[in-house]
Amino acid sequence: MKVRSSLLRIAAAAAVVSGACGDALALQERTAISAPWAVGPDGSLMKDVTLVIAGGRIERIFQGPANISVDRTIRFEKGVISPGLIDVASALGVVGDNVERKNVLDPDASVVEALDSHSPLLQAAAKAGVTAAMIRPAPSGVISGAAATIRTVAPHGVERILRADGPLAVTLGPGSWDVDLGATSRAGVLHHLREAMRTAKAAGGSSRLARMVRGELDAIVEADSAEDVDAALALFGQYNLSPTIRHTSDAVEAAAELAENRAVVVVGPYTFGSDLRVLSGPGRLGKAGCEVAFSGGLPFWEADALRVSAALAVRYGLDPAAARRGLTINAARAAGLGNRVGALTPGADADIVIFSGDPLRLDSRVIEVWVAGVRVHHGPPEPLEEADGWRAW
Amino acid sequence: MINTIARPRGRRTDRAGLALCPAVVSFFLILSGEAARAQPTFGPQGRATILENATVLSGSGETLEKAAVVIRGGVIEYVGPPIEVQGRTTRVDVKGAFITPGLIDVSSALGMTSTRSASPVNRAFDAFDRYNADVFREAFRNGITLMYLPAAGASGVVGTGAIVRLAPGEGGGWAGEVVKEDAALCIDLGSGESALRRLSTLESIRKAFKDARSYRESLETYDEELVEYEKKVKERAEKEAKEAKDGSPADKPAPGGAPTQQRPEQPRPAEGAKPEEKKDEVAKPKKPGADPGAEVLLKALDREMIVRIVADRSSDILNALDLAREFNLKIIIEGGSEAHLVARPLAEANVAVVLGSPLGPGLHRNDQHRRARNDAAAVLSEAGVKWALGSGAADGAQGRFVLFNAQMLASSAPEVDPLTLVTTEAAEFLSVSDRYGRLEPRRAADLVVWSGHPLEAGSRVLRVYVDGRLVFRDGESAQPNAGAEEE
Repeated sequence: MKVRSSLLRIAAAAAVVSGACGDALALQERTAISAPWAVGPDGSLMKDVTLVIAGGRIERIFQGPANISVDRTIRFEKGVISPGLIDVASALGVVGDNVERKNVLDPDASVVEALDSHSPLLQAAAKAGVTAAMIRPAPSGVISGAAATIRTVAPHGVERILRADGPLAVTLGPGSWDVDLGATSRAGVLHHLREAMRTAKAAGGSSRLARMVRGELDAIVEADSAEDVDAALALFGQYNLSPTIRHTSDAVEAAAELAENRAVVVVGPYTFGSDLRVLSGPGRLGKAGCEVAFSGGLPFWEADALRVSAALAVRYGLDPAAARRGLTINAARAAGLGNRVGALTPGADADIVIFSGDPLRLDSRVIEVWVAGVRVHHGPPEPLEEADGWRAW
Repeated sequence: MINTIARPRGRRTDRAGLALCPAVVSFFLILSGEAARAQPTFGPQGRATILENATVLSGSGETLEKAAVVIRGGVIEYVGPPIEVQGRTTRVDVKGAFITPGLIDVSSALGMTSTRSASPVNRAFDAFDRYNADVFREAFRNGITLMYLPAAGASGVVGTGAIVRLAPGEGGGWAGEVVKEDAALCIDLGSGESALRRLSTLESIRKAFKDARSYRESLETYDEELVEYEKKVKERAEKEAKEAKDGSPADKPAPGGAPTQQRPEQPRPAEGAKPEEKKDEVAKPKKPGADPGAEVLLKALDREMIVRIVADRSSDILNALDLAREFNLKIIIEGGSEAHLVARPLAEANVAVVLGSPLGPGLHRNDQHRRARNDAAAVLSEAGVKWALGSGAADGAQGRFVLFNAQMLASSAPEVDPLTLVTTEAAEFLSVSDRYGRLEPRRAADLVVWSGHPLEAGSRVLRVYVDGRLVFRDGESAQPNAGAEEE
């Protein structure tokens, strides 16, 4: 058995290293995975949970002793089964200029076309339990194209791209003010956006902007100051739209308005250098009735930064269950994939992570990562390679 | 060990329900010699604060459930099962809460304003913003009560670091208390700078130590010359006295005449003429000018002061080891992003490492941190290198999260107990474990009351006591000098 276990480990490690191969047969197997704890759909911790995985999806989930017929059973004596973590607003695999800087309105750009699937940063994220990321266009224009959501690891036979066409990325605030673009002020940006939305509505058709105005395509609005939040909500409100707002700095001020919007608020990344006012934002949003999702700022921060963001939010007042939702289902909802990933519910893709403890505890480590029912990472990190040359620079 | 006063043996477990009757408690109190001495002091010597119904995490891995902690006069008086205390008391029922020692950061930048200058006479505490209530509040919110503050902000010999306790000032307001001044000489090899610049920095440090040695030699030479001078002056005085007694031709009284009443006045030299030097005149040695910087370095050269060297690159760490060998310094490496690559030489030299925060920027890392690894601590341990964890950040705001740092480190080194790392072990590392880092009788009453287990998500700090005084309560800083609590 030991030999088999070792072989499994090697196979799993190879899958992670390559990022492309995997156990295709595993997709066909019916597997039961049980652990003492799991992250429930509401973000709370459920006791004694068994997941049944078949065809790459979660077939069943139940608590207590399981008596079912499966091809294989995997039992973890310790640990917590969690939906794979999702980083919202990341740049994994699309580092650099991924949009044109000369266009103030660029709704037809698709950031997914700039994706480098072989980026080692994707694998690093997967090892940290981040199985998916919404990559968004750089916020350099007012409308900078469609974001996309990708898997950080995709073995053979498993989709890499979960969603390619949205949400549409809109940016208010200084990030979109640029003399080369034409809008150099808050008023100018709002003027461009207002006119674009009005024109798109009048023109109709199937352009992304027209679909967005009709509510057929979701939007994520980068609005980092409270006044940009107000402006975004007022403008989109004219069309009865509730966009996802990405807002980190002034959430303490804008919590009530964001709660009325009834959409997920994307916050973060938070680091050990973030100040009290910023860190208090998610707690204030939670108390106001907002659902938050976290951006870990990957890969500009290390892959653990996503969980650190959530842990800091909890330290400064966010309910732990809300924070777990923010790492999983709320992030999936912000990406428009709430029915597919982010929760341990029947029918969802079997993208799961087994942590040694609560994902919000920073001493919890990743034990295994599964994507679409395939184990892609297993066991402790590989040993440190021997140092070559002590005086290496 | 908690078991110093009245805690019955075998009761330090996770078991619930230490429902000991008062008679049993008294029995144990009598059994313990310490308790016999302590019991009278449970009487009315100042008001005692009793925190009841808590789970006590001692800081050294021990757990006591349904315990009471008695503090009085800035000192922990008792830790153990429920107890009756005589005299004026303030009882605080903290049911369900956990109590730990105040957390300790072995390398922090909390509240520091960088001086950006490098001189051995710089003192870290001078750059500490001691009246910034936000700094104190944020530290308490995360359980920190004691920290080592390095002199930082420049390369070379930067200054001396201090160990600071976040104690309220006597006259009201926040002040901080220097537990140990000149706790270490701070050197920064500038790992973030260019190679040539780093070499130049290293050379300037070597020169500073050499100059300090020269300064000492000049002082010693002066001392020797002074002794010689005084000896010669004395000899001359004796000689002159002897000559006076025996009578020189000039001084001899004229035969038959009266003895000379006083020496005739020496003829004054003509204006502008050089005074005639006597043959046996001894020149008084000139005392070297005081050099406070060299004085500081001499303490390091005499191994009276430890030297903390900030070095991240493996080459810089090896240079630091060379420096220690050359000048016989007692050193600690700070930062040590590449310490795992040179674990063997560090172990051979018996040099410890203060690791910084495991969370760092991830992308485009092309600097001194690019080879940092989360499992560096495990590698160092395996090689036999002693290490500690500090927030170690240039950004003071990062110094708040020492326990989060420890938890992150523990995720790649499961044998590490995060809480012990930032309490007991941190105090030992700073050589202040006689008073801090453990929740035990006779230690300083610096403790933190948490709403749940401090490692669990969602636990928050309910109260912080420093020097026995309540300094933080339920999310807000208490008035620093109020001292009073609810009865």
